[in-house]
Amino acid sequence: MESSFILGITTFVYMAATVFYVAYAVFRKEMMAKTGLITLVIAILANSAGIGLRWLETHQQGIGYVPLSNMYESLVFFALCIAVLYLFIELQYKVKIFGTYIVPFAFLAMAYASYSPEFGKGIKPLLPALQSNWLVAHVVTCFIGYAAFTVACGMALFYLLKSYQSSGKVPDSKSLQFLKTIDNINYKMIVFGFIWLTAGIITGAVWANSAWGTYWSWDPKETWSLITWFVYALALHARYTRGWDGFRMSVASIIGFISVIFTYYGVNFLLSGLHSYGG
Amino acid sequence: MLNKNNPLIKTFSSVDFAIFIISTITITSIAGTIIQQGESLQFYAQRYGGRPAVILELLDITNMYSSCWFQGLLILFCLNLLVCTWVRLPGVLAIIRKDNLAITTTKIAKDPESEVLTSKVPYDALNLPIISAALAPLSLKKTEGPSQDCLLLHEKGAWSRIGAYLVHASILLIICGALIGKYLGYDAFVMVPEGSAKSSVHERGEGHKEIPLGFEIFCYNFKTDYYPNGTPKEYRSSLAVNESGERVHYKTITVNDPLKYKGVTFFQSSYQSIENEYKLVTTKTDNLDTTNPINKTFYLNPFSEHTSEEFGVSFKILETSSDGHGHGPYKLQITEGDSSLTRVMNDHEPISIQRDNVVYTLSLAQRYATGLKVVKDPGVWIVYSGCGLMLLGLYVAFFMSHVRIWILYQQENDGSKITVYGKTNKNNMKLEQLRERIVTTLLREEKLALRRA
Repeated sequence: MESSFILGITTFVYMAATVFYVAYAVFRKEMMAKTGLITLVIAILANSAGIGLRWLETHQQGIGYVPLSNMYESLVFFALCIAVLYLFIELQYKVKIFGTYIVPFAFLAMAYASYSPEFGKGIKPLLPALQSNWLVAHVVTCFIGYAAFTVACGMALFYLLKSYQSSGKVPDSKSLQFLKTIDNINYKMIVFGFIWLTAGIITGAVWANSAWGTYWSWDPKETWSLITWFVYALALHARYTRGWDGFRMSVASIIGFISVIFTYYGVNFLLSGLHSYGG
Repeated sequence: MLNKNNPLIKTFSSVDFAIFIISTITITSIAGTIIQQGESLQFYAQRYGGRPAVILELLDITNMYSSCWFQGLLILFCLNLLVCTWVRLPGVLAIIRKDNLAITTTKIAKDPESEVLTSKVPYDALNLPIISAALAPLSLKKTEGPSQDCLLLHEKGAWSRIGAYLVHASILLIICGALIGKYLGYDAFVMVPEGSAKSSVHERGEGHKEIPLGFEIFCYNFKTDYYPNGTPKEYRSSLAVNESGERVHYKTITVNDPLKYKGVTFFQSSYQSIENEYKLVTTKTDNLDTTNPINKTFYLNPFSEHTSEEFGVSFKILETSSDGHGHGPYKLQITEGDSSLTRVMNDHEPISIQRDNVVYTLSLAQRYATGLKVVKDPGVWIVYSGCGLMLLGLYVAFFMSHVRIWILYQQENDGSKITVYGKTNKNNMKLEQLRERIVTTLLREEKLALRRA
């Protein structure tokens, strides 16, 4: 069995999990959320197995590398990070409705990896510049960060929807408390992502210095990662010094996520630079 | 020292100014990624039209990140960080150093957030060791009041309040390191042909200033390895450092593994084939004494005779390829005295020739020059320590908190009461858990006979 086959199937499992969580939001049957959770765990296992198998395949082809070297492989890992992060949130907060707004992102990442004709799924040997242990450190740190920002964005969307639904009504303390929890997860995920993004930029800089002799060259990818870093830094400062929360923090989180997507995806396809092999 | 009411200081220390400056850097950076950097005026004229191209060029938007105004923005950003720290840090240090036992106990007793436990057992100073023992796992400080009351304090992580300042300091450290690298170091380039040495390099950028190395960098060999599908697998240069006539260092470098010597680092960056020059690697082995083969490399121009006195032969390339590309198969003529022989050789494929008891192994290939990026950056370790400090600062700023819990034991009517009151700068959940742990521990002490009020 090939890894791309397993990962293709994983897409459908993520889709099933998404359907269950959305159905739970619509029909509010506890059963659906439970099934959704079980399906998600299966998807995580299949996703991990797919990555593991791909790793094995690279070794069988005699070019052994950790499968995190191109757009396809990174999207697959991205989906896994989102799903695992959500799993922790559900176990911690025991609020299943959050899944409705987070699991679809894991599905989208995986579906895009599996069905987009833009990037090849073949195992290709690594270019000389990519043959470094920093590749693993850099990609893993960046994608944990990106996944955290994705979860934050999901929570921000949920917050906006929830506060829009309850606008005009007199809010009861229970729904106020719930909005506060959503806002809190949004904030915590931004903090978590910010630290990992920082680590990602630093590992990237150290790697660049060992491969190209310069830790920072204002390459579009580097610049955009810094822009994303600034966007979240501004959001965090606004929270500490101006007391931003709720609506404004949600908007900041969504703007940050757009910047993340541009850093990750937009730069590779719209601008030219050192990261062009990422595609 | 610094007048906080000075309007200039006020502006520089304000959050609005910080937000303004960061936003400006962000927006201009975005422009810099959309408009390609470092191209020629013609390039921009073609893309944006003549007049806009000139404007872009005049405003340095085409070389934005090294322009005066962008670096000015970065300096403003640094000043902002410095002034913010200068103005705010003393206040934070005062909070850290503050003696939290010197607090009016009535404030604690009256706060609605405090947890109150009451007991019919009257206040007794002899009960204090019981309380201390019960809460022994926590470090406690204690003062006894003038009349029948005692205040205990558990305080932790006061210094974590400087977390944000560590992050700010780390940014300054990184920028400092970058400036040191920029002004005390250099970023240069050198092409070293196989079998030759260079003692100076040329700086990148305008003028290509020549920089002497103080030693020689010698290239033995450059080689590209390919994967079966034809994509490059590895670029490899075997380099040596010669200093005052002696070989002092040797290393084979690849793209992710440079050579370092006396603060200068040599990176594998590019390569070039040298037209009309070929490299002949030879080994002479005596069958009677195979322990000491003689290795020698010759650099040949096609169609001209090259004599080796050591080997007592001369070589001449008669043909460099059948298709005109010059990468073999080659025709090599070897002459020894009056006799000569001609062999057809493929690029990089060794052949052997036996003569009496001597075996010659010959391998012919294109001669290359390796392109090395040469960097001297004395600031890089400052930048790296800044990076480390930043991660540490972020961890402290986000995951550590300053927790203070006061336990006030005092006489009330005929009995006594204990008030537990906590305060933290973040992470209220952690504080509540800790307060609850203290309360339940105290409730378990039978001698105190406490219950929740």
